[in-house]
Amino acid sequence: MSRVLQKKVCLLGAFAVGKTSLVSRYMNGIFSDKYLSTMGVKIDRKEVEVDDITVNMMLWDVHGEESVKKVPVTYMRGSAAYFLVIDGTRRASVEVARELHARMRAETGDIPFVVLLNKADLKDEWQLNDADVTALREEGWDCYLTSALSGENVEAAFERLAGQMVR
Amino acid sequence: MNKTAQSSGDDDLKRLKDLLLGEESRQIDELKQHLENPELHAADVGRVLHQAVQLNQQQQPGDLTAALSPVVESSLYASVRTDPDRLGDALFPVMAPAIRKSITSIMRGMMDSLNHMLENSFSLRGLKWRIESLHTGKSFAEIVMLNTLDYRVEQVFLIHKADGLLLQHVSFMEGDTEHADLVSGMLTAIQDFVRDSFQVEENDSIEKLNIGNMVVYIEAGSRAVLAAVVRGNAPAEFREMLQQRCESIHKAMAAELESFDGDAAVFNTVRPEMESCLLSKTASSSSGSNFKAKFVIVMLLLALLGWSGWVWYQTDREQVLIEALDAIPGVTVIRTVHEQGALNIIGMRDPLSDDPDDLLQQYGYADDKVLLQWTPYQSLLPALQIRRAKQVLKPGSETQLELDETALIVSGTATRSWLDRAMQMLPALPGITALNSADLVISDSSDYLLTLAIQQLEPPQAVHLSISGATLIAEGKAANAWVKRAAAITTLIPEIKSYDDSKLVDIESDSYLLSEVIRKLKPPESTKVSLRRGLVSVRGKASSEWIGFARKRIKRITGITGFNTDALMDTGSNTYIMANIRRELQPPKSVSLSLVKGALTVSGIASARWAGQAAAKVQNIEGVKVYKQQGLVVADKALAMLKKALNTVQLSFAANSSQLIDGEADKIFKLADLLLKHSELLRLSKAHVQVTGYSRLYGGQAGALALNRAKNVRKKLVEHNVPARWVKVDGLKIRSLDWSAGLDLVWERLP
Repeated sequence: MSRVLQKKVCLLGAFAVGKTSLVSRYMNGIFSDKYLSTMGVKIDRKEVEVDDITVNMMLWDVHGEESVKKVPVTYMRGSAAYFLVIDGTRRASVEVARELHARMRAETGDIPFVVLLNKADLKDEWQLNDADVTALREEGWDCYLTSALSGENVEAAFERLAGQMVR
Repeated sequence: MNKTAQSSGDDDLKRLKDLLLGEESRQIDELKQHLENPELHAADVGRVLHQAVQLNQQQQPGDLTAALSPVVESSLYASVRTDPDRLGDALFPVMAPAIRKSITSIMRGMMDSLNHMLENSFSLRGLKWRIESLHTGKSFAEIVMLNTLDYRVEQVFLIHKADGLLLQHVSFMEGDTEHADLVSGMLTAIQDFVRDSFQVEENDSIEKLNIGNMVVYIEAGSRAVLAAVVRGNAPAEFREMLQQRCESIHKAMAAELESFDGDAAVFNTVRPEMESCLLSKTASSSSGSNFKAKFVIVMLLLALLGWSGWVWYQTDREQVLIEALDAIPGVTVIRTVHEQGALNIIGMRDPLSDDPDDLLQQYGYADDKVLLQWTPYQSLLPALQIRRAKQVLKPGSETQLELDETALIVSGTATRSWLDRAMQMLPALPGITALNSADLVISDSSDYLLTLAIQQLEPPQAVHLSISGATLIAEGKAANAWVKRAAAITTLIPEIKSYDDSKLVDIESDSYLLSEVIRKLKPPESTKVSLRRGLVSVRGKASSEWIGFARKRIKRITGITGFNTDALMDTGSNTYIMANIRRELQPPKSVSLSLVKGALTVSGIASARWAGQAAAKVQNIEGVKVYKQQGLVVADKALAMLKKALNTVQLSFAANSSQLIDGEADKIFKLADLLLKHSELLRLSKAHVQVTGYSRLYGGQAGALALNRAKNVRKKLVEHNVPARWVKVDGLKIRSLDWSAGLDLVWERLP
């Protein structure tokens, strides 16, 4: 009998980095995007099989971080892991991710996380170069180049995070 | 010497010590000083105290706490004793939210249970449930719960508080479980959202979400949250039940909750407990809101307000009544007592004062609520003295009494006898010593009566009033209205005992008017005047002059409405004179009379005798000034003339024949014309023409010839329109030489 584990996973990132696109295309949800703009959060589920364990990732798609509208700490609380989403076409989104990363660490301690360098399909417009990505990886950031449009690496990223949580 | 040597040795030793241990010795002194000087020692300990405490906690946990507890306790005790505010201020931020929350919870619970109690106790249904509770041995709350479940608990979630993950979910319907984990997360997010948005305390949480007729009850424990989705109105007990379930789950699953790593399978054991919350029942309706409780509280407040208002109003009302009673002249309130729910008012009252009971009615007091106890007395207030004087003296309505200090002033009118009696009765009135009647009119004096009568009756100038004893006498003339009014008014004046108007003439009465008419018109004896309701009628006969005069004069007599002369014969009128003429002259039918302006014209046919008499008589007939009888045919003369004309005619016939000779027929025709001209005369006088025929023959034929000759003449006359009856024929055997037929006129005697 396979085990089922539920985990709270936060999806963090700057405004308009493509979090919601990832969620709406590759996850199961019942709530509309309206919740994001009103309550600042929307919850979706992503099932990932790791060995004989079914990991039910309860994804808290938190409203994009903006200077005037910070991600509330209460939404981060209790997370088992998190995604940091960066928009490859906007260098500023890296800094936002850093800040969110710091706040998350302060709230939950050392928990698994995966960095999604999104909008891989718009490679031409990227402000981040390979050196930047390498630098991030050297910092210990587990980076995945993803595309909500093509679905590139999305599943792999989820499996990666699920695996980290289970082991 | 030894002593000196010894002392020098000590000094040396001391110097040696200084040389060898000088530094240490100073340090020892310093340390000694630190140990002995409390201030320095305290400063040393202060520097290391926190480190010492930390070390102590690590090495011997609990020891310091145990040691400090009594000290802290007594310090706190002392602090509170000396200044409670200080500790109060310090604890306020901690205590206030806790107390507030507790009170809110208690109040809400109280409101709910009050509402519920009202709902269930004040009804027949509630009584029934009480009986049911006694019978079955179940608690009343349980019975109420069972009976009032007009709701359905559709889903119950057990949610891990820290991460919002779903631990367990039970549902009324199978399909609801699919997204329970999402809902659970979102519910937690909502809690977080609200907490962040409205800056509430960390441990405060949403307890109830109302969406239409859907309610989500959220019972938060320390590690898990129990949320129930309820459709409809759950009773207050449901919340308690949820709370109990939450607590028992916490108790049973404490370790599992603590070490939850995402595997919810272990929480399957609490499913039955959660399923027991899935209650549903369709029952009789209950309001579900705390409207009733609010209503009752509002009503109680209103009642309290009303009651205090009523008390104030009553007190005020009583005061007003007492003041009003005291203000009645002749009434003095001495004290008031409340006894057995009734207000006793005790005082003194002059029996002549206004009835205080009327005031009770006026102020809306029932007799049993207020008892009045009066001691009678005589008040010397002027109003009461006047009242007493009126009671004793019984003045008439025209008599006024006033009081001037101790003198009773009588004015208006009164009888002599009343005044005499009043003077006698004066000593019976306390406080009154004199009676002043200078302004009093004695109503039974004749002058007063006459003045009164003139004032009341307002007689016209033609009426003279006088008084004889108590009788009023009216003389003169007055209009009918006044006469009647005077008679009526007199009876209303009590001082006038009788009224005599026998010498008073009613100028509108028929008798008076008739006398006036006769006096003014002076009618001739041949007339008779009568009057009825202003209409004057004259019968008999009178001259035109008088009639004309009367018609004009009558208009100037007041009270006359009409003048009827239909039955009056005008002796100057043609009709009257003609009637006189006919009576006097007795004219035959053949005579016609006409009268124009006193000229009498007679025409027609009459005998000479009548004509002669008429001419004589007419002289004596009044109204006939001229007599004309030129148009009158005197019959005797006319007939004699006709007779003569007939007699002169002699007709000749052919020999032995009844044929007239030539030219003779013309004579007959002329005669016929003459006769027809006087046909009326002939008719009236019944005259006829006698034609006699003659013959000179001998023998038997002579008579026949003579008759035939006469007949032939008649025939000729008749041919000329002379009626046959006018002509009679005869034949004679008489010889005549020249002529053979003769005519004559024969008539009857005229009247």
